[in-house]
Amino acid sequence: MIEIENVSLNLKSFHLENINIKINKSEYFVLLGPIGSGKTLLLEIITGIVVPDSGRIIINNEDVTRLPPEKRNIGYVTQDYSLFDHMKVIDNITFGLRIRKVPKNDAYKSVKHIIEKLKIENILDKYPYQLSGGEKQKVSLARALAISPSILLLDEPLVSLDPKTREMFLEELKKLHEDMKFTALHVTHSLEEAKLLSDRIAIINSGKLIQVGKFKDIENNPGSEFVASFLGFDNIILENSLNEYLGIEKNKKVAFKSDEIEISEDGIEIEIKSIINEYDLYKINAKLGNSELVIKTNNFPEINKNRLKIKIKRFVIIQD
Amino acid sequence: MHIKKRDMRYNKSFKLTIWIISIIFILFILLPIIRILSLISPSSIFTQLLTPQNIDSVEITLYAATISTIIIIFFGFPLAYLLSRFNFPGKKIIDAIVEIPIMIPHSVVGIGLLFVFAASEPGGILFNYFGISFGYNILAVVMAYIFVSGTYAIKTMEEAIKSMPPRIEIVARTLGASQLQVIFRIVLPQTARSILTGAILSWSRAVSEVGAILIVAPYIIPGYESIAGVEVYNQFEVTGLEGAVGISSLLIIISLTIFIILKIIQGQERLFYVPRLRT
Repeated sequence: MIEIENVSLNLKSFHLENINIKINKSEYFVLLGPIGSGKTLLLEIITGIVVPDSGRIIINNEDVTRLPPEKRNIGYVTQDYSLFDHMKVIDNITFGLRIRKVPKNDAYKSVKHIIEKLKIENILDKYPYQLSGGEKQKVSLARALAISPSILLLDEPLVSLDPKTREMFLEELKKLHEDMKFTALHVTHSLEEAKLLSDRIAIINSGKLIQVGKFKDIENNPGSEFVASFLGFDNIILENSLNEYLGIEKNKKVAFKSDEIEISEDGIEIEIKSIINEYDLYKINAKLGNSELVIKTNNFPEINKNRLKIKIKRFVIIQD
Repeated sequence: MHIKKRDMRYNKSFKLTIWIISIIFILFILLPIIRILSLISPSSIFTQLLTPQNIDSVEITLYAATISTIIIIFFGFPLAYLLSRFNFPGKKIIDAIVEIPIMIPHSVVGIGLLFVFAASEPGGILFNYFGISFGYNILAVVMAYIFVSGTYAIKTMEEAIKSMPPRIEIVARTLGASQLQVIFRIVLPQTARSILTGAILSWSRAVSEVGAILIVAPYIIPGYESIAGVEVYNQFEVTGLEGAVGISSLLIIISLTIFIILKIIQGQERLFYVPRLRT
């Protein structure tokens, strides 16, 4: 279990403000936020490379805030793999154990199950420069897991991989967590990763924690316009005629996704401004009352005097 | 089918001009070396090159250059680490100080060293306290070598450490390595090739030094030998152009051998780790 308690850090150009996160044992926790939101800085505080101005980091009930990185038993997987290029794969993986003076043979035995799970038996004698991106990231992951860390930190681990490798790695990571039940804090700006991997997520922006919870719950109930927009709700409008049509309270903002709208005769009327053909879909810019909205559809709609009726398949109400 | 690629970017007369200008410069470098070497006949190797006097002076030179290189690496690696990893006010000034020895005339270096370490000067008094004297000895040669050649090794190591992402060191620490273990097990092995390249650069720069040595140790007591660079000058003064051929050739052969070794090391990708970001 790891607790981040009231952690604040003021840097010249950036402030991390009063961050509170509690990650349970075996939980896969995803910290989601745009680039430059403070995610990596928070990871660096957990590793011990950066000391916060205030607040505490507690790992398994021990306050480690002032402990150096080597005393924290943390696994750290970085986006650029950070492999030791002068060591063979097997020596990379067993590095943490060898530092702990575990004899080479015993070290190999204790990482064997990780190597088997990640299916990297055939590259153990290679050097990092001989590996593909996906293989490198597996080695980096195996190396971090080899020390049975109290928590595994993953900093945008899939960002340097090509799309196909990324998808495969994502599934393997999911499976590996199901098998090994390690505690993980995974930092990313990718919704897909958060959706697939997370038990819970936290959303961070400009150094502030915005919302914590299960992905589904936050998606169904975004606490702010920022969260909704970050989660892909590209229409966020305040239009009482719409609220009336949807049967919800007045003066509440409603968020919905441009591809979760259908054109339907018994829908609400909108005014078309323009239609743009984007490869296999049509993007319709329209107005509802005074608000602008975007609709994406696969078929060119039948329009009557610039008017169209739409039905919103799924919407959420912004609570702030 | 193999198709020979014709480079159409430049026209013939342009290419020819570039070639001619380049060859003039290359010949300028090669001709003096070739001319000196051409004056040795195989039968006179022992009478011209490997005379006891030449061997002595080369021995002292190589010995002093090796000692100075070891000291440069010992002090230079932490300095290179400081310059590549730490941020502090005045970093640019320290960086510039490291480069000063390349800029100032080396006879001036000799004078400066004497002003600090001669018997009556503060450094000399301190040396005297430990029973050490400076001037006309190997110590003076080694110190002058360190001064004039340290920059090359330090700069090479600094670049190598800079090219290694700091995150690698952070990861090693999370895996349980202390700061010193990170240096010895990660940073040193990963920069070994650059350390060796830097060492060879500094070593060869030391071997070719004359200016500073003419001031601090033109000859070495007790045997009155001179380091090789100075010996060339001495033999030229005493016996003229022809007389300096032997020791000059010996120096050329040694320097070229080192140069070839350096090039081989630089070409050996896997013998030593080459820091490079591969994604």
